[in-house]
Amino acid sequence: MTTTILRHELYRTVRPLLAIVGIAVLVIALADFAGMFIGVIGLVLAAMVAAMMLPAVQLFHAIDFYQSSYGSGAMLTHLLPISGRKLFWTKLLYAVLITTLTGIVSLAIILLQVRLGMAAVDLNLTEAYTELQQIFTTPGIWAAIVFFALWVLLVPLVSMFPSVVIGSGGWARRLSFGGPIIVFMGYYLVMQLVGVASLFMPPVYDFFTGQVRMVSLWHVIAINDPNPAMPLAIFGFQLVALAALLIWASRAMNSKVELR
Amino acid sequence: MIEIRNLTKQYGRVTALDDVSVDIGNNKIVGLLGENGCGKTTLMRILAGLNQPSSGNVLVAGHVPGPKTKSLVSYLPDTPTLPGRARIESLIRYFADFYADFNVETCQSLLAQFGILVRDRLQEMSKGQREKVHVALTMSREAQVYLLDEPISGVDPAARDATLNTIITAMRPDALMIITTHLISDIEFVLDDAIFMRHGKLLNHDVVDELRAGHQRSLNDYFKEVYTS
Repeated sequence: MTTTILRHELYRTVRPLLAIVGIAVLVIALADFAGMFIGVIGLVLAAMVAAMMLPAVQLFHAIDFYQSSYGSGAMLTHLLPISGRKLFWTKLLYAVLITTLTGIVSLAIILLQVRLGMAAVDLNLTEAYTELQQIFTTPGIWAAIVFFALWVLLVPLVSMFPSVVIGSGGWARRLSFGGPIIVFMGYYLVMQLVGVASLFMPPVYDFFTGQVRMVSLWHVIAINDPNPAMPLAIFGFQLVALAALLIWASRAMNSKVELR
Repeated sequence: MIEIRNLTKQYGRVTALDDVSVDIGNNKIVGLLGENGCGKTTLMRILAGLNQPSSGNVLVAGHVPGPKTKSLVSYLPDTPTLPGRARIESLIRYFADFYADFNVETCQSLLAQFGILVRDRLQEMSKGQREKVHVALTMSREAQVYLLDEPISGVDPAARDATLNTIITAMRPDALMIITTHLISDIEFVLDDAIFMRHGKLLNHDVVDELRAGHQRSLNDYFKEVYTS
């Protein structure tokens, strides 16, 4: 049944997804063409559009999830002989798969812009590769890159999907799409406050040594430590919050669906 | 087939269903009748598993409404829910992929009877044609329970009899069918039982022939008498 759900998710969303990517590719191509006349600025614009593809697709998935589960398509979805839990996780899986694909395409386009930019400024490829090699051989850098990539791919979806479910039930039913927005903004606000608090909590990631240090960012700043560092506590809190939201949403969609 | 005990449904301060209890057996066609806002659609939606009771118990074929009952129940809502941009063939594929009891040949035959082409898009059709498409999809399932909420209200008077005949002949022989409608005179001669509701409460549940014989009037006239008193 999972593959059947995934297949129908694709049938329903393929056209709007291709439209989003198609428009982005068209703008990128135009920006690259303009780069021949206006220089690197065109390539920078193209790279920015490529980077924006990812959040655009993620937002589309959240809106589509709302439409198909609580909006105009809700009845067709919830009449299926499938548990709400399975629908929730499978729709989220589909969004993750498409988002990952979009991320790969987006990264490829950005790297292409970098390559074109290097050629435009006559940057020696060997010199550039040598510099990059120094960065990419820093201890822990690949773990940080993979973690960051997963974070960028997954966290928006994993926060928006539960917001749709929680914001469409009980008290929020009458608010239509406003309910999920309120829930998401509430989650975002709480995470911002936790983010500020995490500045004063260990540990931090040291970009220079690639190691985790059991000190707070406030301590690093206070002692004028020159090594750039990033607070990590926020990620722990966010993981716990997202896990709780996912469990809550899965259970709510399984047993508490109330269609308008 | 359906057991309802002390079912209450509240939307804020509004009581849509008020302590409803009824048993409905299979192998019959039951009319769920009442004035606007009496709770018919709410009851149908709870039986279909789309809404939750505020209190009370509901069992369909021995199961609480959920994935298991949705595999046994075929529901036709009173409002349009099919995606307008979809072609009918894609809807047939959708139903065939998700419902094990869906019969594609039956659906194609019903659509042909209605004069509808499978390559057409819903948004290119009239309201009545879209309702016929939904009726065809619903009745192409060999379900144990059919819940039809106002199945002929959007159909023109000349086509109502034909649509109703299509519904009756397409249903699985041993199934239970519950129909809500205001067009009682059009359907009363296919009904075995009638359930009357008012202000969220169940007024009466009786065999239609006995109601007609006992009150010496048609079901439509009995309905008018009850709801104007």
